[in-house]
Amino acid sequence: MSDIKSDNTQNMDSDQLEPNYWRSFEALYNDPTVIEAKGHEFKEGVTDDFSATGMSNLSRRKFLALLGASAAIAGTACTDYRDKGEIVPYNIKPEEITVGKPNFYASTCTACANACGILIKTREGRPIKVDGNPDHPVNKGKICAKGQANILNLYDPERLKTPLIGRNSSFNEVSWKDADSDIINALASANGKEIAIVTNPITSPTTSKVIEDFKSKYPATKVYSYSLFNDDIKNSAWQKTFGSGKYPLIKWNEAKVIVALESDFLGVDGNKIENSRLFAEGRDVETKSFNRLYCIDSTLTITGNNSDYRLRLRPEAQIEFVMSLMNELSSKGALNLSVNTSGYSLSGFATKYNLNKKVLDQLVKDLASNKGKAIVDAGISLSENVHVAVNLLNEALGNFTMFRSDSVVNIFAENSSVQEIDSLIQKINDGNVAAVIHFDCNPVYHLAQDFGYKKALSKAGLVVTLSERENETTFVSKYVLPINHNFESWGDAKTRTGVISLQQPVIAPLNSTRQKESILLTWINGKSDSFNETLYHEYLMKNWEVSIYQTLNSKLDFKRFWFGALHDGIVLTNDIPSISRSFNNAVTGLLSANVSEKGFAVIIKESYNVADGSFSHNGWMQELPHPVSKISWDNYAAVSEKTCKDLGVENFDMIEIKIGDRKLSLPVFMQAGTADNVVVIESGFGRQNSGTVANEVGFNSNLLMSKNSNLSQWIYSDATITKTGDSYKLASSQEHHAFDDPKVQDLHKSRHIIQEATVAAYVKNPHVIKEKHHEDQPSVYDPHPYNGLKWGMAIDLNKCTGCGDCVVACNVENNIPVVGKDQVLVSREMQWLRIDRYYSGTPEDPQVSMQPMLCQHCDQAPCENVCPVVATNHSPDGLNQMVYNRCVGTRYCSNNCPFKVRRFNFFNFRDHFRDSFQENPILALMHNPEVTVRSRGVMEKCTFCVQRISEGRADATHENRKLKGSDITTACQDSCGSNAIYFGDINDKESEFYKYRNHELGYYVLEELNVKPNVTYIAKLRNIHSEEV
Amino acid sequence: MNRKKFFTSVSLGAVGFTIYNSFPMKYFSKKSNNPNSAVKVKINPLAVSRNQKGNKNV
Repeated sequence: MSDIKSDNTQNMDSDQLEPNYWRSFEALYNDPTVIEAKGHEFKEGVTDDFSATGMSNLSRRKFLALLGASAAIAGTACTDYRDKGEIVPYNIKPEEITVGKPNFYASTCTACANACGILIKTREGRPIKVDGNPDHPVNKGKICAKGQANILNLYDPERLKTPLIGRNSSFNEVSWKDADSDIINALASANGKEIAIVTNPITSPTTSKVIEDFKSKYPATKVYSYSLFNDDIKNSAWQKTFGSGKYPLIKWNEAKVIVALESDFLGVDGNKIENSRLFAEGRDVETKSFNRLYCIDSTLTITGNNSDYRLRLRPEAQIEFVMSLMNELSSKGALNLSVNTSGYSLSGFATKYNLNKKVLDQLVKDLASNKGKAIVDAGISLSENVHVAVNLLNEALGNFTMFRSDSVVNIFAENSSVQEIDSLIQKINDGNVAAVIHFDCNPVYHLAQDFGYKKALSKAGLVVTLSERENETTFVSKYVLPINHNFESWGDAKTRTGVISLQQPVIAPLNSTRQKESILLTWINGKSDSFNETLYHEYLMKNWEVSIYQTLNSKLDFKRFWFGALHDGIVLTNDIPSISRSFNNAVTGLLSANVSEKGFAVIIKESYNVADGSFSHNGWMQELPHPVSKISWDNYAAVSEKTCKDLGVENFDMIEIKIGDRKLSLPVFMQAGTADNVVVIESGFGRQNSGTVANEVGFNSNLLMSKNSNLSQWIYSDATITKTGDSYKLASSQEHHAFDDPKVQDLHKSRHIIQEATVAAYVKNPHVIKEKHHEDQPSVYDPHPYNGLKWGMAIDLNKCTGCGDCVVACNVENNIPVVGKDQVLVSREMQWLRIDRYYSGTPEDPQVSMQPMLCQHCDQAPCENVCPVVATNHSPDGLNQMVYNRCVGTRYCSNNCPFKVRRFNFFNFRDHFRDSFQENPILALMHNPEVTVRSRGVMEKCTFCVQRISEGRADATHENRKLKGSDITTACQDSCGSNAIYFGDINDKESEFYKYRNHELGYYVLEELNVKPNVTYIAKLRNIHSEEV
Repeated sequence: MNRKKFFTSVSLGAVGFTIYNSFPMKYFSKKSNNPNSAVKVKINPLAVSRNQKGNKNV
């Protein structure tokens, strides 16, 4: 290298000292062939002289004849295009349908146990979109990502279509009649042996009654209820502390100080839609009223991302922390405690766990000065003694005022205990169980391996599984009975006092499936031919007429009441919750912090996207980036940077985690903000026998679970970790953040992409953000006057929790395909809206900023100037629009977009993903007919839901009025649980949107580029103490 | 080419194209790939719809 350098310097012109540029080593060393080649413009052989003798002997006439014949053959052979079917008018049009207009059906979402109220949008009978039911008092018109993506489950081509019978590890189709006959005979001949119904928690009063009827018909029946993630420990601790009842609902909107201990109440704990709305109400820039959120947890979560202060802590240390906190408050005279905490010291605890003492001091001050206006919440995974200590702390601080008295959670049956599940398995093993009926659940996957449930099933008399699709449990069943999807089913749900919601089928079953309750009713009737399509509908109506309608004192006759209730989707009831609190002093005996902290702590968390695995087969949920790590299509072991260094591993290295005799190998992901010596793994992955999308995606964390855990079923101490030497690539939609590279460190702040301030600074100077604004810069373009309606969006970063519900809503509304992990790895994800996540600070204690990023619909859009075919252009109402038919796929627009929000169809992704899985004709029924389905070679991006604008404009014209900005809502706005997104007319000074568009905290991203975006971001305010400002 | 030969050639060509178009290639293709023949979309007559999102009844 030094020789070359010296030669190179020698070749410099001595006068100008210009370096001698060289392109190859041959050029550098003056190879003679290179000098010779430089004398010719073209390479040898490129311009050989023309020679007639070298040409073909084919005559002109014969050439043309062959050309014509080839064209004719190609033309005729290629006319076998896919027959999309004929479009024919209705012969007899259903009364409620107006062609081209959607219908909405109120129903209940069964994607999780929260049972939110939904409105299902149908077009010509096809469900195409799900929104929250605005009349439902819990979710108030909003619905989460899983609720949105549930529509893909309806049209899943791999749903079970007919009953199956398993013989010698293979399954054959069987008729409903034969299956029912065989099962009824087996149930009737149980001869005193137990009939076990295994189910997830029942939220429906009528389903509960069906099961009671089943028990009456078959008295040997016993019901076992389980849920992989549940509030059982929290509720048990509440009962022990106060004698009765369940843990109450919290007024998140009224709390001035919130302390979340390993609690992800904005993510997976409780009803996140309701919690997010209430939490966001407490962070309002209009009233300048802000709560303060402290998070003390083991890894970053959605809640941790939104905290004002965060401390990282091993989960086993939480009990010592609460006891130390109580001692500190007690020593300052803020508490009168019935328990002796003198053995604990907050200062000593801070030293022991290397916690920021200043933050702890602030926490103590805040709790002491906000008695009755604060709430301490412990996460569902923590052990019972932590919950008892938290109950005691809240009681002593007078924080019971933060518990809601108007409504409590309704539970029809307690989950079965470990001992009850164990006894079931023992009975199966002893041959004392005649039949096991899996009522729409998957215990083979969910139950800890040391239960030995799968092995025991082989000894059960008859195993029947009612399921929508194949899974680990159907694989070991004798009969697999296909059940209706949520949108094909009747039902009801009561998850709270004061409200019951109704579920109605918006489409007749697409396959030969049956309502799960009507399958039980057929068996109750004891005749295989007793089934009919209205069996459960009639049962439901009867139950409502007898059990529910009578209690409501309605002035309407039942039929009118029933149809009105179906229309609304909910019925408000007058049952008043009974909440009594009588502190049980004996419970203080449970408060002991003698927990060993050996080895690594392993935490198993519910997945944000695929939950407990119930959404593993859903491509939209698999591809939704994780709200913290931004990884899709996998789970991983999240560990801290220090732990990685200690273990000698890097991102994507495979490790083996061993707890007792249970082990699991999975890749490492270095997650900023994770406590040292803690491993956090999300569940719901590593599925088997579960279909094309779910199989072999990620790693099965349930293999690490045990029925015997001294903390909880989700937290394990004393794990060992070894490096396997293999590696495994994870697909992230955001580059891994470099904390130590000065070039990119805090770039988002120095470029003002993220603008933040503190509440104190804002109160002191309302123009704290505006002062950073760039002055209006001159432009080479004359500004276009937008005197009429002009569309714009405002996103309040104080309310956005970064959950990603809006991303899935956009996917569903705009027919966005799933691309698969291989394409995410090369940054070809197609989501029009992404949630950017930025870190600043240290890897140990990062500050997190979230920002939804979508097309900014710039007035002076740089993408428009470079399109050679004017495929992207501007509408008179300010939309940056795409003409798909014009696009020739140069991708210049994407290259020139400063926000990187344009998405290119490198393939026909419907054809490309999983061997054309999405090309299945049934999935075409899911498409929104108002949105073009894009194919290969076309650029696309956010349209501000232009189809909704067009529909609104048509309605306004029809009604002979002007279109208003408030007439339109975008899909992302509709789904946002915390109401962070505002959309409307920039020129409408009367609208709510106008306030946010022109808010003093509003700013544009990359404003200095002078592209004049139409998306305003309301700067995030952190509610830290004024003395820190 | 005389008139008669021209029309004979055109007629034979047309018949040839028609037969070629309808028989040899399509013989090997799937019998039907019409999505509408595979799935029947039927509205449940007992469900109650609304025309707008926010439209409470009782």
